[in-house]
Amino acid sequence: MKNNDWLDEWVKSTAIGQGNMRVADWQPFNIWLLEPFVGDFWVDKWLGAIKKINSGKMGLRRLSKTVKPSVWRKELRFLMWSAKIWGYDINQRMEIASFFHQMLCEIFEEDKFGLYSNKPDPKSAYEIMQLPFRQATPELSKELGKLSSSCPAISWSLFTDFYYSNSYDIYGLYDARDFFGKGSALVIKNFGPYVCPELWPESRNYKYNKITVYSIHKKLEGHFDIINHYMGNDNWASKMTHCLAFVDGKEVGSAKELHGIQDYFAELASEQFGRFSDLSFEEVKVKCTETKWYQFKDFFAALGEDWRPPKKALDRFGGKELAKFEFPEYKNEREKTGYFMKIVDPRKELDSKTAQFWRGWRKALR
Amino acid sequence: MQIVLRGIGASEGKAKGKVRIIESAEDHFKFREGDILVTKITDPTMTVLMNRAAAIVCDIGGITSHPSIVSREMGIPCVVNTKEATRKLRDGMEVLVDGKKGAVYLM
Repeated sequence: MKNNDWLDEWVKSTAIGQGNMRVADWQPFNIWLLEPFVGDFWVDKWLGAIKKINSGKMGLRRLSKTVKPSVWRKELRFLMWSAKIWGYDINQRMEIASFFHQMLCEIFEEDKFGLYSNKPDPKSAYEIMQLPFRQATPELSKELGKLSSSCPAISWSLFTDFYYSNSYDIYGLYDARDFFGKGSALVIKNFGPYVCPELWPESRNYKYNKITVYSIHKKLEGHFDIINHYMGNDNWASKMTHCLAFVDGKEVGSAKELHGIQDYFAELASEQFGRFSDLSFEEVKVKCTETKWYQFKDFFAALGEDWRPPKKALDRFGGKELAKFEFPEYKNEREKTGYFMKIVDPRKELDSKTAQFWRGWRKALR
Repeated sequence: MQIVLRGIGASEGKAKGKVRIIESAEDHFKFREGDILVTKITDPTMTVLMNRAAAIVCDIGGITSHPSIVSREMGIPCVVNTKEATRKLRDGMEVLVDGKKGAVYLM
């Protein structure tokens, strides 16, 4: 791509992905209003990391693989939001955005910002298509569907509605016509890791940690957006023709065994969500922030740094309500997308009304 | 059949069943295999119920919300953003959920 064409694509894709969601429905609150509290600490950590990487000889490919592809794609919007609120200049914002672009270039050959797909590593996907798939019987499709319902529930309970991509990433649709006929597509689901004692000590005792599901679907209509949401209302189970599931590396091929595993996860999700729901507002703010930073645990470890947010960052929102900022009421989807395009584009400043609010908010924080 | 609710069709398909309104974990005992799960918005505590539901109907939510994602995976119909499902429907009502049209009909 020439010049900053990639930026236009990233801004468009992010604004569309954000526009596909209803911020008002997010639980337990709108995370855009908590992010700014520690935003400057977060931006500084990234600027420091990039400086370190640029001055050293660290392999970008290796670094890119320390973080889930969807996490790279989703995090940049929050970084840009915080950088603007805290007054970082265009050069600093561009430095961060360019670094994230570099990471995505290491992972994706095409459609790096998920405008219409989420297809990292197509060569591996092609090899996966050649594995000995099982015919998808109604029983297998049903149990895999339930497993794919229970696994995200665990992710939401462990990593919140905002940062669940740490253990939930779906790739596709890879064209699988060479092996399964015209109109066939491969979907790769990576669930886990769920064991995260740094955040939830109880997770040490989980029976399973990582689930991988490969499935072939016929005439599945729709696509993934940058948030890794599937945009379409097709029934995945009814369109599944072949499948292959692995639990902690071991293939599980019987519907009965899958039923037991999905039942375990469904119960576990309920138990874990109960644990999250029991947290006080103060604890939830800390947990959300720690979870956000935890997504980059292996990245910062590769740089010889700790992933944890500093205490003074967490202290900043102690006893405080979320920012009272109200996102505008959009007349239509176009207006909503346009608003978010301004927020996330590193080349643009916040509109005067938004900027004014956050200036006042920062003043009151002191 | 009389249409009682309209919303966003989040997962295709049609399913008939008895309405079970779920407000909290205490309501879980009344849910039976094949019931229609009606709630404000699903959360992970309802995973067991969702795995037994014939369809899901929610007051709020969009195409990328939790119930929408999960119902597509399981291949069951789902209608979200009906605004008043938990107010208009009652436990035991026989309904048909059309996930393509985003509509709920009283049988």
